[in-house]
Amino acid sequence: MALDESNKPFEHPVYSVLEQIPGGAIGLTTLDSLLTWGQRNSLWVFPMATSCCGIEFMAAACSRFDMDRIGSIARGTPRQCDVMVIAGTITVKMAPRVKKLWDQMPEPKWAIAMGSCAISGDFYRDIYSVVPGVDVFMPIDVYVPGCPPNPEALLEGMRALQQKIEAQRNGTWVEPVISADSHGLRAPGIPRVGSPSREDSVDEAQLASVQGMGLGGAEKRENE
Amino acid sequence: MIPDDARALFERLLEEKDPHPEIGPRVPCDQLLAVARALKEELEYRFFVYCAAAHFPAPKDAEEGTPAEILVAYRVRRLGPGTVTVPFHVRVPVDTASPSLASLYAGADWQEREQYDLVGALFEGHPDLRRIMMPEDWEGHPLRREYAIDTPHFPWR
Amino acid sequence: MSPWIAAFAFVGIATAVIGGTFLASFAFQVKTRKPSPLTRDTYECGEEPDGTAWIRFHPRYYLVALVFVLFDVEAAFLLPWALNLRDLGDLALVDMGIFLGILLLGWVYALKKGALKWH
Repeated sequence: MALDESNKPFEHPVYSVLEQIPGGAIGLTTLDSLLTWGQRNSLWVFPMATSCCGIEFMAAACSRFDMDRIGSIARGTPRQCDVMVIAGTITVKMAPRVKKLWDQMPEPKWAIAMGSCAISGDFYRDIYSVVPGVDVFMPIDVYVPGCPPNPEALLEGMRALQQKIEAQRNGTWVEPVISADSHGLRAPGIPRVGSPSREDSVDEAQLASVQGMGLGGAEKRENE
Repeated sequence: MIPDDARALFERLLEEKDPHPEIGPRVPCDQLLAVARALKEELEYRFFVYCAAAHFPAPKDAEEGTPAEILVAYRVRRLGPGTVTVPFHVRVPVDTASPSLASLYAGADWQEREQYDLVGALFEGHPDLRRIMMPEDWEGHPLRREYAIDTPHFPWR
Repeated sequence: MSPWIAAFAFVGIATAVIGGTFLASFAFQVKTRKPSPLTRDTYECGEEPDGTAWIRFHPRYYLVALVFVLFDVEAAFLLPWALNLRDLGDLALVDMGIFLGILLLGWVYALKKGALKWH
């Protein structure tokens, strides 16, 4: 789940005023559902398109399948986005950058893992340079399977996210259980985010790895 | 198929009458720059197509002292109508440097860096030999034969 | 009175929209509720930010904008004059001609000085 506090209603000063007025609670729920409707129908997308799924993402965003009709446009900066769509294989070199961008998105935020590579690493799962599924370092809300998924499948995934947001705000959301033993699946080497076997040391190590990224080649050349 | 003018050059410089059709003649390290310069300046093979290296570990059943080697294959092209390519290669023991063609062909710069990164092929005289594909702090050369393909890399996999 | 009703209505709706947005901004606090140490880092596509943010820009952008503003204001003056020219008579034509002539001199000067050259 991307945000623990997503089950909380919107917080704003008007609430405290409305609560005091008798019968104001109806206004609160109406306001809440109005704001939720507005939020879930205007999910701006931050595309993390690294591979072939990026092409299908572009197809979903362009005229035939049109993501804009569900309110989503692709923005170039994480500060303006609600959803991060990870479309493609995430390598070990790219993973700190993705994590940093995820942390730079303001809440409330959600994530969609598009395509098998983002879900589990696909058939690259065992390679030394591939992260086996992006939920090794960030929480994912919707998994869109496919290699690559149809643009229509991605739109259905975004629709599912909209329904999830509505259910979370209503308080009717039931968190599905993803366990490694279901369907004979193999767990990744690093426990998934949200898995009970994941320790804090993994989170700290990933954060330290991001902070220790350095400037790469340029810094090395200057310091040598 | 190696073009005739390159064949004649190999015969003249290396006394190699029957070069391998795919990877070309084996060039001794000390003659590599001379051969490449001749190809580039005399025969106009000015376009650098690729530099590819492969790791050949010592076979298990070989005698003592058979070294593990790295084969570095090059290919250059003459552009224009009737364009053709010419291959040539060097074989060096592992951890020995072969001469770098980066001073002659600009395209060799990053390609040699890639082979250093993945196979550990060393190039003497390269202006900036460092990793290009793997993260800078990676240990090991992934395309070596003894490198485990599912090597873990905490904290990402 | 009747033309002014439209003007007041316009101002009223504009104030309502802008004021409403301003008030609604207190409601929609889009911020990070669980900041990580990376959240406030400068955005540079996921990489470490390199170099300074205050960089030098070529002055040609300033010159083009300056000349644009001048002639945009001139166009703003031209519009009401053009609409009412029939009622204003010949003197208006001469007046505007003098105005345009002065500005034309200025434009020729700018061209000669190379102010609009993109280099």
